[in-house]
Amino acid sequence: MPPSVSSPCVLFLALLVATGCAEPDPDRLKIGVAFDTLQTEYWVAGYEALRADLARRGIDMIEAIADNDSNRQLDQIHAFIARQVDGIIVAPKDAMSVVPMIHAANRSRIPIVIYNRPPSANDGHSVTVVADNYQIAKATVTYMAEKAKASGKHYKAMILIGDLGDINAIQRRDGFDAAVSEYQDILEVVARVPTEWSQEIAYAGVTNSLQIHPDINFIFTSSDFLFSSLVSALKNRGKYAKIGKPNHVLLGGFDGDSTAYRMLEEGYLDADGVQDVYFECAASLDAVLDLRQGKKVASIIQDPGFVIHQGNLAEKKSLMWGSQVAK
Amino acid sequence: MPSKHFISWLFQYPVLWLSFGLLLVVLPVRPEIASLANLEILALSTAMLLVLAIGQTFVLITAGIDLSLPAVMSLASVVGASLIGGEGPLAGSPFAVSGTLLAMGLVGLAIGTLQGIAVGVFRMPAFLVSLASLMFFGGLAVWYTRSARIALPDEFIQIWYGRLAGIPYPILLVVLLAACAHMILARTVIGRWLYAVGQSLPASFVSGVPVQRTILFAYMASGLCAAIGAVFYSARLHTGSPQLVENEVLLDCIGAAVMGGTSLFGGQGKILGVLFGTLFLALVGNSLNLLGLRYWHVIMIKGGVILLATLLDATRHRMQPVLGGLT
Amino acid sequence: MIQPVLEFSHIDKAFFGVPVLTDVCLALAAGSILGLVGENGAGKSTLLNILGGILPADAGQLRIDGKPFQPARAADSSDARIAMVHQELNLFGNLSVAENLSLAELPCKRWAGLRWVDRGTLAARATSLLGKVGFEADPDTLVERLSPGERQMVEIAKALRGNPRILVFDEPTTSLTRPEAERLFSIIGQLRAEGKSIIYVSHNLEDVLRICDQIAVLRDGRVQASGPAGQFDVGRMIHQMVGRDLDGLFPRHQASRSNEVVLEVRRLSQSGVVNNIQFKLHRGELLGISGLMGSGRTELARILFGLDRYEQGEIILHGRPLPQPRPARCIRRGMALLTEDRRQEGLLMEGSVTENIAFASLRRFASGPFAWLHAKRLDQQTFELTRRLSIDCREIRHQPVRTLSGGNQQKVVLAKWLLRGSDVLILDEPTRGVDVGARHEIYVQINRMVERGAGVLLISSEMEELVGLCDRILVMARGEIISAEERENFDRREILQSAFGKERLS
Repeated sequence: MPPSVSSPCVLFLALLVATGCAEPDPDRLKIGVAFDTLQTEYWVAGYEALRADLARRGIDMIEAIADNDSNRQLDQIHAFIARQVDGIIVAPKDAMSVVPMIHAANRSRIPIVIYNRPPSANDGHSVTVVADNYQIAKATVTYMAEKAKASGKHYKAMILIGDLGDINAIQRRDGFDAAVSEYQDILEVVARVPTEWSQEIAYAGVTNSLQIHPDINFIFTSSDFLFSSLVSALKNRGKYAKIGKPNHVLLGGFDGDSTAYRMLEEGYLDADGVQDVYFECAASLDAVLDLRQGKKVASIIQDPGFVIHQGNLAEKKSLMWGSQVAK
Repeated sequence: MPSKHFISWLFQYPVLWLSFGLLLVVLPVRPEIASLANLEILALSTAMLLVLAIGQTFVLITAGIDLSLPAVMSLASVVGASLIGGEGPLAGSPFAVSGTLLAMGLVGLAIGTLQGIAVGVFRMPAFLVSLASLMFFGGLAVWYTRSARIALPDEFIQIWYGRLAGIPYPILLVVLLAACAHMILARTVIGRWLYAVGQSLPASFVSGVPVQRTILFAYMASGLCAAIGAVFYSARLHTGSPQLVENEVLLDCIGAAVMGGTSLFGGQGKILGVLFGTLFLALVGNSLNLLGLRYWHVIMIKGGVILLATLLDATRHRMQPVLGGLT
Repeated sequence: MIQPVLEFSHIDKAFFGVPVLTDVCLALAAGSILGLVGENGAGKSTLLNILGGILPADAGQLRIDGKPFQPARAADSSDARIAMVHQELNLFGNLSVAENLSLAELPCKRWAGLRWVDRGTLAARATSLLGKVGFEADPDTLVERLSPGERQMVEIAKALRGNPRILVFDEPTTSLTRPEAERLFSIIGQLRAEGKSIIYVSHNLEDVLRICDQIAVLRDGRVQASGPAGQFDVGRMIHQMVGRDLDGLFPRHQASRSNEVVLEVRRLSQSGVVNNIQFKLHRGELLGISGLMGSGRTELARILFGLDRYEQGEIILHGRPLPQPRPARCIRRGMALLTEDRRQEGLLMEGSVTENIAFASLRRFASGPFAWLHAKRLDQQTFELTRRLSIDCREIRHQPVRTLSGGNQQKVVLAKWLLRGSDVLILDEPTRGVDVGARHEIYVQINRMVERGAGVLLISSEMEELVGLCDRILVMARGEIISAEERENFDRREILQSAFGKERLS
C-alpha cells in the first residue's frame, strides 16, 4: 500500500485507540472477564451481574467476548496476562479448550476462576463455580414426572440436548435420564433432539420429531433459551396450550430466564430448574479475590440451584434471575 | 548500491510500514505490547496464521482460491484426535505422535488432491470447488465425531508448547516451513510454473508447462499447510474439534497474503510479503485485544484494512492496461 | 490555401520527462484523407489520444475551423463531432448489432413509470446507420456471430452515429481479409465524397499510398515528412520512418535445404477445418503457408501443436509419429509454436523479459530431486539471448513485457523458443502489429534459425513477406492445400489468384 492509503489507516487506528482506552487508575485492581458468548440471556445476566458486583467493590473490569471461538478466547486470555490483570474469570466454550487457558494463567501466577462450565480433568490450578446441573435437572424432571403420574395417563417424552462438548449439557441430559428411569411405567422417551446450542438446529429437530411422533406430550429442554424455537414448533402443531387444557404438553426447562418466568406466570410452563446467577457471580468474585490473597479455596463451588414450579412460584420467584431481567 | 536497493525493497512492502505505525500508536497507551511475553505471543499468533497463509498463497499465485481451509483443518483435527486421544488406536503406542501427524497430513493432502483435480483437470471454478469442500468436509468432521470434542494427550500438545533452546517449537517449525516455501517458489521449476500458470493459463499451456500438475501441486500444498495448521491449532487448544476454527480465519489468511503483495488475480506473491502481511494482522489482533476492544471492533477493523488492500490490488490490476496503452 | 478543418500546431507531449511528441504540426483539409504512418512508439497513438480528449497536450494548440479546441474529456471531442474507429474493436459480443450501435443512448419509452427500451426505434436507427456503410445485416444479430470484417463495419457505423465531420481510423485493416479491406476503402472513399475529413493510421504502407491524399510520417515524436501522397513511395516512407535504408526489406537465408525431413504431415483432416493436408518440412527449409483468413492456416498450426483435435491422418516429427500431440509433448520433441495471439497465448504479459524467455525451458536448467533451478546459468543464457536478438527494454528482470513494443514482444517469444532449442518452428503471423524496422530484425532471426538447421513453417497473410523470405510456399484455401510453389516459380499474382480463386469458385 502506498503511504496515501496507509497513513489514513494508521490515523484511523490512532483515533480508535485514543477514544477507546483511557488508562485506568493503576492502583485499582483489574479483573479480566472473558465470556465465550453473550448470545443468550443467561450469559448476559451473569455478565451484567459480574459487572455490577465488580463496580460495587471498586474493581476495574477488563472484558473480552470470544463469540464462540476458543482460539480467540485463548488470545484474549493471553492479552489479559500481558496486561497483568489481578485475576481472571472465564466462561469457556467447552471443557477442553479452557485447559490451556488455565495453564497460561498458572504460569503467570494469576488466579483463574472458571465460570459455569467446568474444565475437563487437568493438572492445572483453578476454581470452578458451577450449578449442580445433574441434581437440578433431575429434580425438575422428577417434578414433571410426578405430575404426569398424578394424571394417570401414559406419556411420550422428548428431550432437547445441548452441545455435547459442554459438560453441563451432558449432566443435564444425565439428570433427565436418571429421573425418567424411575418412571418407566408411565414415561417413554421417544425423541432425543441434539441442538448443539443452536436455535435453528433445535427448531428443525423438534419439528421433525413432532412429525414422526405427533403424540409427544412431555418435553424437557436443556436450556431455557431454546424455548423460542420449541414454542414456535409447538404452536405450528397446535400443541402449545395452558396447563389444564387437553392438548397441554408437560413442559420443563433449565436456567431460569425471563422467558421461562413469563411462561410460568402465564401458566404454560410446568417446571424450571434455576441456576442462581447471583450466587454464582458472587462466589466467582470471592474465589478470585481469595486466591489472590493466597487463601485456600475449594476447587469446585457448587450452586445448588432450585426448582421453580406452579406450586412454589409466588414464594421463589424473587430468587429467579429471569424475573429480575423481566422487570 | 545496496542502500538504494534496500530502500526500494522496503517500499515494496508498505504493510511493514503500517505495522510499525500501528506499533508506535499502541506503544504509549499499552507499553506491555513490547514486553517479552507479549512479543512471544505475537510471534506465536503470526506463526499460526502464517502456516495457513503460505498454503493459501500457493493457490492464489495460480489465480485460484482455497476456501475449504477451515473444514480441512477441522477434519484433520478430529481424525488426528480420534487416533491419539482417549481410547484411540494409537494412544500409548510409541508411534502415536508420528502416526497421528502422518494421518493428519494425509487428510490435508487428500482433500487438496481432490480439489486440485477438480480445478486443474476438470477446469471447475476454484471458488465453487473449495466452497463446496468447505461445506462437505466441514459436515464430515462434525459427523465423524458426532460434534464431540476429543482431548489430546500431553505428548501431542508438546508440538505447540515444547521449546528448543528457549524457542517454542512452532516458531522453529514455521520458520523452516516458510523457508521451504520461499525456496520452492523462488528457486524450483514448479515454483516458476506456479507463477506462469497464474499469469496466463493459455500461454503456459502453449509453452509446455504441465498446467494440470502445477495446479494440483498448489492445492496439495494448501491442503498440507491446512493440516499443519490443524496440528498447531489442536495442540494449542489441547483439543481435537470439528469446529477447530471459525470461517473468519479464511479472511485472515487471504487478507494477510493480499496485504503482503499477493495478487488475487494470480501470478504474484512472495513468502516474505505474506510474512509481513501476517505479522500485521497478528499485530492488529493482539493490540486490539490488549486495548480491550470488543470482538466486533476487531473484525470491523481487520475487515476494513483487508478491503483497502484488496481495493489497491484491484486498482493496480485495472490500471495496468490503461497505463500500458499510453506509452 | 483553404482553411483546414483540423490543425495541430506545435504540439508537445512528454511522459515522465520523456518527450513523446515534439513540435508536431499537421493540417487536415476538408474532404480529404490524411495518412499517418510511423513505427510503433513514434507517437501516433499519443497524438490521437490528445485529439480524443484522453490526454492533454503539454504545449501547442489544436484548432478546428481555425478556432482553438481544447478537449478535456472524451465527450468534448465527440461534441466537436470527432469520431474514432479503433484497432481493437470496442463492441460487446453478447449484445446485438442494434444494441451496440445505440448503447450510449438507448431509445426509451416510458410505460408504467419505468423506462423501457424502444426496440422499434432501436432497429430503425441501426438499419439506417448500417445502410450508410453499405452493410446489410439483421440488426438483431449478436455481434459475436459476425466476422472481424463485419464487426469493423459495425464499428464504423457506430462512429457515424453522431454525424461526425472528422473520422479517425486507427489500424482498421489488421483483422480484415483482403476483400473486406477493399470494401472498407470504398466506404472511406464514399465518406470523403460526402465531405468528411479522415485521418487514416496504418502500418500497411501500400494501402496508405493508395487511399490517402496527404501523408505525414512520424518518427520519434516529430513530423519527419508531410505532403501530398504523390510525393511518396513505399521506399521513401520506410526510409523516413526508420531513419535509415533497409538493405532489402526481406533478407534471404543462406542455408541449403537438407534431405532430412523434420516434420511430415500425411492426409490430415478435421471436418470443417482442414482437409487432407500433406506436406514435408526439411531441415534448413523456410516453408511458407499462404491463404486468406479462414483458409485453415492457423487451424492447421494449432492441430500440429496439439491445441486442437484432428480426426484423421498422421503427423510425423523427426521420423517418429506423433499420435496424440499435446503442447508439452510437441515441445519435448523439438517443436515450437509462435501463436497468432501473442498477448494471450505467447507471453506472460505481466512477467519480465527473463521470465518470459525462461518459462518454457525451466526443466533444462534444473537438477536434483526437487528440480532445483540453476539460476545463474539460466540468467546468463537469457541475458545472452536478449542481447543476441537486441531486445530493447529498460530492464530485463522487472519490467513487464506488456510495456514493450510489439516487435520486441515478438522477439521475446522467439527467444523463448531459441532457449528451448526447438528445431521445428511454426510461426503464425510473426510480424502482425510489428513495425517495419523491427520486422527486419525478426526476419533476420528467423533466417538464423533456418541457417542453424531448423525447419520453419511461416504462416502469413502478407504475400510480400512470404515471397521475400520463403523457399517454398503452400497456398491454402477452404482447409486444403491447393498449390505448392518453389522459389524459382514464385509469382505473386498467381499465388494470390489461387488463394482467391478457390474462394470464388465455391
